[in-house]
Amino acid sequence: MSRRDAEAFADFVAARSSALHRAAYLMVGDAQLAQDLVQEALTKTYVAWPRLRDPSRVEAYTRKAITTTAIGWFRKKSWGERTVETMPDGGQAGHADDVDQRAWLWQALQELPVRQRAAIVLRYYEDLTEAQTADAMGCAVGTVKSQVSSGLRKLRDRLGADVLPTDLIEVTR
Amino acid sequence: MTGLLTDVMHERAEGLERTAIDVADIVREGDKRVRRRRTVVLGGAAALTLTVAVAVPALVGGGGPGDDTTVIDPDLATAFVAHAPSYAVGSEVTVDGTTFDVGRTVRAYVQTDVGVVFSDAEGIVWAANGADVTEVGTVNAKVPRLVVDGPRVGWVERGDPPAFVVYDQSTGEAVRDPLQNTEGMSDVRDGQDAAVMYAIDGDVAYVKTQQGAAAWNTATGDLTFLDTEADGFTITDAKNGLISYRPAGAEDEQVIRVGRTLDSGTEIPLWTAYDLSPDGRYLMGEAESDDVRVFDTGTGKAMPKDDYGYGYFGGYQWIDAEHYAALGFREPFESDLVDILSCTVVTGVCTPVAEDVGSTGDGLAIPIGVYNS
Repeated sequence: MSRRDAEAFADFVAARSSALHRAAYLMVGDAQLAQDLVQEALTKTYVAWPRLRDPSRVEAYTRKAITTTAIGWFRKKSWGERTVETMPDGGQAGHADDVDQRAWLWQALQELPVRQRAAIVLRYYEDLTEAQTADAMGCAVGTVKSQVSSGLRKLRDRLGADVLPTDLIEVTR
Repeated sequence: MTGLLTDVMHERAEGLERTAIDVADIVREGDKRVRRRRTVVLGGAAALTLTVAVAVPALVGGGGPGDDTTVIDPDLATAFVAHAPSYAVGSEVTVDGTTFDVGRTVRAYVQTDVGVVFSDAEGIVWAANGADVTEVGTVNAKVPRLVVDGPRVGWVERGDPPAFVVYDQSTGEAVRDPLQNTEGMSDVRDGQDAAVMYAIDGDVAYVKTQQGAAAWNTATGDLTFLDTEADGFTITDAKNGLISYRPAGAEDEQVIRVGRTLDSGTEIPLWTAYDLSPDGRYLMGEAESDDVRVFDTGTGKAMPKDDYGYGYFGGYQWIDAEHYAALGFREPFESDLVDILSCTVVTGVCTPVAEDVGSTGDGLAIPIGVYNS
């Protein structure tokens, strides 16, 4: 890892790019933007390659690049992130069928502020600990807790406690 | 039930088509960035003079006060000169209580000294002053970005290579130049190997070319490189000779610096920086998520702010050096009608300018140069 080894880098991309793309997609909600995001994050990883002495740190570095780049892309849009379609209130969502619940949950997730969305993706899709999530987001563990808590609370407020029970909000590791 | 959120994310992620990552392109771009770092010249020490960009008239005539064919509502003209707060809903733009229709839905827009410049769903850039609507260029339709200073508006024009454009709405003239952009560069803001128009400050446009960040004097054509390590996220605004920027190597940190060069200035603990005031004394930004405040660029301290009971309340547009426009609304955010307020920086006191102007769900747009979808 001490030099910029293009072959080793290509092996890493081949092994992990699809997984990274999926996580990026959950953060930005658009397949093409997710691909641009992964391409940019991998470029940063390639530039940093000689510094990443521990091979196990490579994926963590790329994940951090994806997360912080995504946050940078969407920061300017923060107020507008609360947009678009009217959501059903909690009571209605609680009686909706499973397909509707899943569609509304996906939409509500995409409408969260980007930092809350990223924190939720890292915690509940990537299954990272709070410390690992904090590292990926470049912030304190306390910030992760508050971002996850706020994000889940907003989802629950919109979709109803029967769709996202309150106990999910309390999960910490 | 606790697994529903995780299930939905896995379901969506697994339904995604396999991506095609171009490793060769990444290696080429990465090697290029490494070479730039090795040859970096900081602080604008190396000034490179290029061919003077030729000022050309706008693609379609009209739209500026110099055009004899236009009859502009004097109230509107006064409102634009005063930088009165504006907003748009659909195809209607309202400033200081006067509404005019621009004929197509406004996506991203900015307000100049003489009107508004906006992009539509197709990425066509238009200039409007209440009398004329004039096509003046193109921008990425999906991720448009316009920057403004006084009567000038800047953007990255679609093309291969993409070009930089600075359009002066007071004269109707535009300067277009790809500078050192090369074929294959992206016109998507902050995208891979992207051309970026960071900000305009008088005659100077701050851009990211294929060779790095540069100050482009649109009057003389001089191009001065500032920091060849710029990655597209560095400069956030420039006004009155001051530049707000995220320092090199601090891409992941809560810090924005405001100074006259890219290696000096006051540090402010912001995740996000928006617009500098016209004199550069203040900067709008977020130290906490979704909490836009005004910061003194001399001390780095936040100025007073009250939320007036809104669920979201924050500034978005400078009216003058001491006043800014803000918007406030309550939950449910997607349907609550937004109020526009005028605020005084030193006291934080705000007064309503327009109430219940529309909701984010109605397609309400504010003049920040990006599309809020």
